[in-house]
Amino acid sequence: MISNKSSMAEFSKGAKTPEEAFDRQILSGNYMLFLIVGLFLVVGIVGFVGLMPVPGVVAVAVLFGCLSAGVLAGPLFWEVSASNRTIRRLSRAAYFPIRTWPFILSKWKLLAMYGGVLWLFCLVIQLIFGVIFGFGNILMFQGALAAVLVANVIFYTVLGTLGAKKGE
Amino acid sequence: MENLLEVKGLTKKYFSFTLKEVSFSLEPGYILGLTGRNGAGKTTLIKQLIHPETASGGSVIINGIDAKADPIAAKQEIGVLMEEQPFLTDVTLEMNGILLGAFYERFDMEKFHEYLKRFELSRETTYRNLSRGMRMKFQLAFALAHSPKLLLMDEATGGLDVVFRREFYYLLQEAVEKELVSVIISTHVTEDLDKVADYVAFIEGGCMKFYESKEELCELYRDYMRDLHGEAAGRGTVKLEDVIYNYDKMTDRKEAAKE
Repeated sequence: MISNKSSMAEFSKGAKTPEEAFDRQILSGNYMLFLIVGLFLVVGIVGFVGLMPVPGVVAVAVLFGCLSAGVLAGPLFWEVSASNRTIRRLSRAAYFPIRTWPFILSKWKLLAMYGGVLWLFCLVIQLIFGVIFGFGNILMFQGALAAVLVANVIFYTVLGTLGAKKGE
Repeated sequence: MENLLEVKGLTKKYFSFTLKEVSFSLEPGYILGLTGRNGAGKTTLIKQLIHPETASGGSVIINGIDAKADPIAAKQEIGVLMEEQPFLTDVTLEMNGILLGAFYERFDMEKFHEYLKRFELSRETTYRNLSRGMRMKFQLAFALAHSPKLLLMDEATGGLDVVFRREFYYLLQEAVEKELVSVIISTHVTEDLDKVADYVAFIEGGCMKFYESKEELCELYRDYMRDLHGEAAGRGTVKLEDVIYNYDKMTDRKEAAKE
């Protein structure tokens, strides 16, 4: 086993252990997806502002479509991509001489943190829109989002764990 | 000499593909070229050698360690070079060595530095900034630094130019001689195997069609050519591509001659 503690300490900005390094690696890049979420939101807002003067039920439906793209699809896309990347990265730990199954399970806090951050993110956005459009509609979205989010996390955790176990 | 790797009846069943009872062995310090068509099962076999605990059947013994029973100890003996790599992209090569080398009991930082220097890789470059060829060199340096007994390469040089491949295989051969490490190279570029392989295995439809020394295969091809076109045709350099392409005809003719 290497014992280059001083070199590890030099890496003061981040990881000091292999596990921390993995965590950093798992998190890196995912923040880029926030930009994509932002893009979705811009589409939603531009759509909203652009279609505001158009009267009638159709316009309202289109507005709602734009908003769902921004509020629902954006975060969901982020969640799916981030989960996928995270699990894929964790799965690669299988190439090293460590027990992959406990290693991935030990990352539950990290995965929960993702879920938590995303949830807060969605909640804030939806509260804003809730104030504008009424909370009934937003609650519907919230329910749908919760269902898809939970299903997504379960799906990717199971899939990723099985994948890692198989070394695929 | 005792075998470094012994694979017996290795089977892996997927929904639409099965790797069927593959058996072979490899002595220390030899290079085995694993070839076959796309989808034949080369990558499946390599992955099952890395993770034999997930196999549907059979056994893998690496340097005397039953890899199914003790995969962690077995992985200490394996170096892996493949496109899907587990290294940390946002940190330097040095830090990759420090952080991930810690997973290996025999990881030698000095040796790692030596190989980085030999392969002309800067310690301070981040993994992300390496070209595909340089990544392969880094993977080789990392693998050799933990003194594996077996190197597994899955399409490691695929898509890289001829000049790089020649240089890479020169470095690999040099390392094999120095470290007495055995290597399994999975590739469909048979020109590479012409240069470096001691043994050649051909996989087709999940089965190992043949596993023979390159010299024996070349001799078989020469005999075949002599039979067909006379003494002069059996001379000269033999290409593995020709051997593989004509293997069925060669063996049929040999069997017929015996009868």
